[in-house]
Amino acid sequence: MNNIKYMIELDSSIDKSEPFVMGIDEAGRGPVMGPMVYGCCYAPVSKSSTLKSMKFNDSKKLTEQQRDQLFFKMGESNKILAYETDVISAEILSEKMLYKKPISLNVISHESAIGLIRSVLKKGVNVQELYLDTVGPPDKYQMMLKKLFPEIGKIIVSKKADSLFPIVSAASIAAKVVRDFEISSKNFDDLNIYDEDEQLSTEFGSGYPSDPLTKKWLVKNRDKVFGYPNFIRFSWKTTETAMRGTCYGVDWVLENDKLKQHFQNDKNDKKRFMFFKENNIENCINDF
Amino acid sequence: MENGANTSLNHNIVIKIKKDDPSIEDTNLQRLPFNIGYNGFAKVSNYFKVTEKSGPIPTDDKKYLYSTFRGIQIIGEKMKVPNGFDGYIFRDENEQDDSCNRQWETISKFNELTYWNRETIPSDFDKQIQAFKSLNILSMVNKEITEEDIKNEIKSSKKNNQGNSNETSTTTTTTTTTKTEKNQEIILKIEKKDEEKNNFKDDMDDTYEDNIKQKKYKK
Repeated sequence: MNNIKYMIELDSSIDKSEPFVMGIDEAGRGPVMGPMVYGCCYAPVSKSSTLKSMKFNDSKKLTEQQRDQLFFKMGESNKILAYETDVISAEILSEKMLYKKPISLNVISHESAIGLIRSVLKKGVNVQELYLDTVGPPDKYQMMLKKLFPEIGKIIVSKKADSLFPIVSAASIAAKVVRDFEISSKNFDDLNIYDEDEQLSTEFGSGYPSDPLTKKWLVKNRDKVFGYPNFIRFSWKTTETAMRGTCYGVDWVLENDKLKQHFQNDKNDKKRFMFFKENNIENCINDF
Repeated sequence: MENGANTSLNHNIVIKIKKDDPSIEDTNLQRLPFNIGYNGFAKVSNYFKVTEKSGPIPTDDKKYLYSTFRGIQIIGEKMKVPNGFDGYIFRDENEQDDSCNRQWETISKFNELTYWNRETIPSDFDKQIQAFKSLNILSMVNKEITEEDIKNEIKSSKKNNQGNSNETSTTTTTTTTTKTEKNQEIILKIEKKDEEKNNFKDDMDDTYEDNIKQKKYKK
């Protein structure tokens, strides 16, 4: 499974056709390891005051304990709100950002947010107000979403949305708690390294490139051939720098060019028959 | 080739194959789309995680192998060594030796290998896969032709091919450099017919005739 989803559905007593407000936020965009998690939270507009009284705040301004408590409360309040998250693994991030035609982190983020909106709309929830924290220029992002979702009356993309709108705060808490859970439950057992000395430690700190613990981990747990387990984002500059000079050089030459170089020892320039050329069959004796 | 092409032609290679040696074990061979500046053991089973799933084309039921190397996606497919062939891996025993004498020693064998592409699904258009598949045809190309074969085929072809002019049959050759003799031409046509019966069709039909002709010219 690439995408793991954590979600809570609305209580069946709630009328999905009444106007809803929805907020979207992300956690783990910057770190060099672990997944990026997108979270959304939605609630009937009529329940706005109840939502306010739940005292959601920007997840960064809360302690881990406060976040966990609020998340727990969210799970028990499906008569007021529901949430959904999209976990984008480090492996997927690396893959997409390292394609020959790379997909930028911004585009991956937009796609995830759009996926969440689609998923909620598909459940028949009548979303009329949508608030998001910006990724890239806010007005462009807002235009794109308005075009994609004309059925949503009001779409607002703004900076610091997570501290301005309670529904976005709730979404940010869901995203952050899910990401923390993914990180803390991470061990490297799946690598099946039985040699005690070679076990990878899980003391990787916050995962942010600026964290000394994270830096230390990256230096200590390098494999010269593979670099790191795919829990690490290979598309980050930090990872590239940590591997450079220590890990063996890898050359992804276009296959055809490589073969050409490989066989160009044949200096006789003897004409080859089409069949051999087209099927890449060469006389390789000269090569040894 | 720092010594120029001439010396390389003087290489003396001795290849030792012990076919039924029990110490030569089957190996798990992967053909990867990159070079690495290292030759030796690696923690493959620890780090190289492979999952099997269908490709992006909904009509394609085939399962492919998916993995990543240093964050880059690679997609693979298992390929069997064609019937009648055995795969061996050799090691050059005198690698350090500057002389031109080489001795290759078998270190392991294989019946299948996994072919990997960067980001794209392996297909018959990949050069390496083509080369691998054409082994089947090469076995026919390299078949020795006895004088008797030639005589027999001239006989039968005279019956079948009367009225067919020489010019028309040469039009398909594109790389011909040698003069064609009438009877050879006819042999080729017969051969082609025979082999089509053996189901060697695929995409090779266009180049097929070239290939067989080349073989003949060498003789």
